[in-house]
Amino acid sequence: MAEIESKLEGTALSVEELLKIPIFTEGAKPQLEKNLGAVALRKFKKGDVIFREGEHGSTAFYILKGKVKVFINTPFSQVATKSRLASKLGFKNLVSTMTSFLKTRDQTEKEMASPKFISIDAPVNLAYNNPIAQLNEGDLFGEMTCLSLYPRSATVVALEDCEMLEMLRNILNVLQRNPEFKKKLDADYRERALTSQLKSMPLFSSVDEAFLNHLKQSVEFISLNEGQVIFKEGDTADAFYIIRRGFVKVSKKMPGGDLVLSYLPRGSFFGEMALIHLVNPHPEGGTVMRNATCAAMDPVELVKVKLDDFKQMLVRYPSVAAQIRSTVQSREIMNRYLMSTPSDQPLDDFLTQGLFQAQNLLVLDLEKCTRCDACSQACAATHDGVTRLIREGLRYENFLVATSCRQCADPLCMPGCPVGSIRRKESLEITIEDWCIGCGLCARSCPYGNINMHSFDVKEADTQNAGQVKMVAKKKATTCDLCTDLGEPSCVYICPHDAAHRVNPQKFFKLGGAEASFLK
Amino acid sequence: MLIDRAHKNWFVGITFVAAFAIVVYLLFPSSRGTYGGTIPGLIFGGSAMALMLFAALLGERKKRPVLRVGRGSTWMKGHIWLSLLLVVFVFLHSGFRTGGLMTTILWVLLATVTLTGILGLVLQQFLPRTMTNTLPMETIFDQIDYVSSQLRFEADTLITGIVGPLGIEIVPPEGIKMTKLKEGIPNEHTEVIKTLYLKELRPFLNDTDDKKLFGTSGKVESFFAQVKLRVPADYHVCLTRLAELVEEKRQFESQRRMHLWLHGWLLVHVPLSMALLLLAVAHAIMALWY
Repeated sequence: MAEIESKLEGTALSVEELLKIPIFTEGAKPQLEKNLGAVALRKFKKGDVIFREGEHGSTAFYILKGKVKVFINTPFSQVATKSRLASKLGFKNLVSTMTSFLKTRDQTEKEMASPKFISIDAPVNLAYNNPIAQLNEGDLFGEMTCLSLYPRSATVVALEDCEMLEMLRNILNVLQRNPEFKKKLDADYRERALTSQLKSMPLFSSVDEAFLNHLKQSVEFISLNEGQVIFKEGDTADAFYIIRRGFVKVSKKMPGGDLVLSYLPRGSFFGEMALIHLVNPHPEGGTVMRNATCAAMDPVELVKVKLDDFKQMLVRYPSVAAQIRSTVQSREIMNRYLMSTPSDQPLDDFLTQGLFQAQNLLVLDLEKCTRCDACSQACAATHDGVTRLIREGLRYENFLVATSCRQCADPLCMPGCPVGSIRRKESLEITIEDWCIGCGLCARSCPYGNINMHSFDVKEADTQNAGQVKMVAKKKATTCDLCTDLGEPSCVYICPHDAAHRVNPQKFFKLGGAEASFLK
Repeated sequence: MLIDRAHKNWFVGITFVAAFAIVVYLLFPSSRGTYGGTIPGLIFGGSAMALMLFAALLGERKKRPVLRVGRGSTWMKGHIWLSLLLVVFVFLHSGFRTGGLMTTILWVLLATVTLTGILGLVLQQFLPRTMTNTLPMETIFDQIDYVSSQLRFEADTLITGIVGPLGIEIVPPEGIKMTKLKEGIPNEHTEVIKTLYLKELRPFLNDTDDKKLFGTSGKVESFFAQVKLRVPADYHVCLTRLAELVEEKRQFESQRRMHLWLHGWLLVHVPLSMALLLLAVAHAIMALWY
């Protein structure tokens, strides 16, 4: 038999050899014949690194034999704003402020609320406090990278000698068309990732294990292709969704075109806005309409929680209703704010500088600014010595639009984050969570260069000298978080000349009215 | 800090307090030779001391931006207006006398600190606006040298591509790798450009002349207009770009000068303020002790 030329590292397998592996059915034979070389047998020794977080790739892996460890190697923290402890006056807070310098960084971190799980490109979620998990024989991982070319979301190391199939996208598609295999993947996901995902959502925090188990069994799995609409604005609301894989774009129709309310990564949920009517029924009854359109940005898999299950949950757990109310309220405030700043504004510099996209702009009044740099220094002092603003940029009227996150209406930095660490919560600011793995995708995607990759040294085991540790440079993305923990951005607060302002550009530059109509 | 309508309350408040203090001074004249030792005199002196301490804390405030103990601009307004009030208090405390050696030194220090502060404030009323209007290519002050080296390298590369080897060492800016430059073929016209470049422009771009030749944007324009008359139109695109680079460099030099004016007064104001504070503390201790 002629040797098959592999498109990947490892040994290429013939169609006959592949068909002996139970995940490939006889029906897949024509596809496998067409894609010879697109799947290879890879052997890894104990301790071998299969791939590292942040690396680029185009393949998925299926474990035939052995176990692997999947983890996030980049240390957490380094991206937080200094504690709110320092932000208040009073003797008690003064003491807290003074003693906070005596605490280690870790202690301070623990005091802050942190998420429970991080969604990764595997059938498990990583616990925030201990981001390590194990994958076994029969597990598939790396699908997001394979399907959408996103950077790897975690590091995978062989725990013992392993054999795996490494495959390109066309082979992964063949696998996903195999109903038996798909069923197995769904069952694995239901068993291993869904529970942790449900538990990590504030909405389900008061729901007991028995009901979660019921939900786990009753949910429906849905697959969508890139661009496919999940529901449209005005559709009848009938379910709640959790994103199992991919990115979902939430948008709303506006006179000037669609306004993107958010990009939701894996692990997020949506569709809860319409569920409010279960809590506060409309006096005249009737159905409730969706108030935004949700569409798949790339191949997306969703978990659909049916309306009946929700109704049951609300009857059994009144605290859930309170949770829904509070989430809906926050999202409504945020949406109202976004929609109050329509995107069709005057042409010229306002358009060419992309200011129409900005929701919150750092501007420096150049007639007041003495170029003392107190703003940059304040930013650095608030963020571990690394400034998130550069006092340079384009000018609009007599204002300098500083290089600092603009909280765009359509935040192009968000889609693609392999670990979903860049996100917009129930408020305006775009936050990069501390589990960022430093792949740099968001920094490359920001059209205004407002996300910076910041290097810092961490200790890592030296693979060449057993038992030794070495300093390794790691990177993390940083962007302006509006110093949310401190109540007001430090750059604005500290400016001694009252020259720095965080503003909504449309309102601040008094656009609208005659100027806005000039555009139309 | 720009003095605008936002300062109205401070102005009214400080004027009222100063007027009240003067009335107190006039109502309670000293029966002895000096006024500082009387009760109103001690109150004025103590208040002036407290205001001096507050004024000195501004620097510390700026170093701790995370502390939410008042906005930077409020502290600055307080620094300006309360410092002016403290001058009034010091006058009243002294009974309008210079006193002995120590108090005379204190007077000189106070006058210098106050005048440099007022000078800084006056400069801040128009220099930022002038910089904004006249320096559209302004950059971060600390980056001027680096950006200037980029301009020089671009000019060297551009001219070499037209006139051939320049016969000088071309150093790329830090972080940029030197590659072999494209070299033009010399002719009689390129010789004109080369001579002008090496004699007039390169020293300006390299910070080795007195910069008078290109003092204003008008001078830059007229210089290049004259050069363009001496060479064929084929070279005008290159000369236009060169003019832009020279203009950018000119603006950086102007920025450097204005920046030094805008912040240079602090070199006198801050150390003398510290000296004034220390001496004022010593004066207070000595006066209370004896």
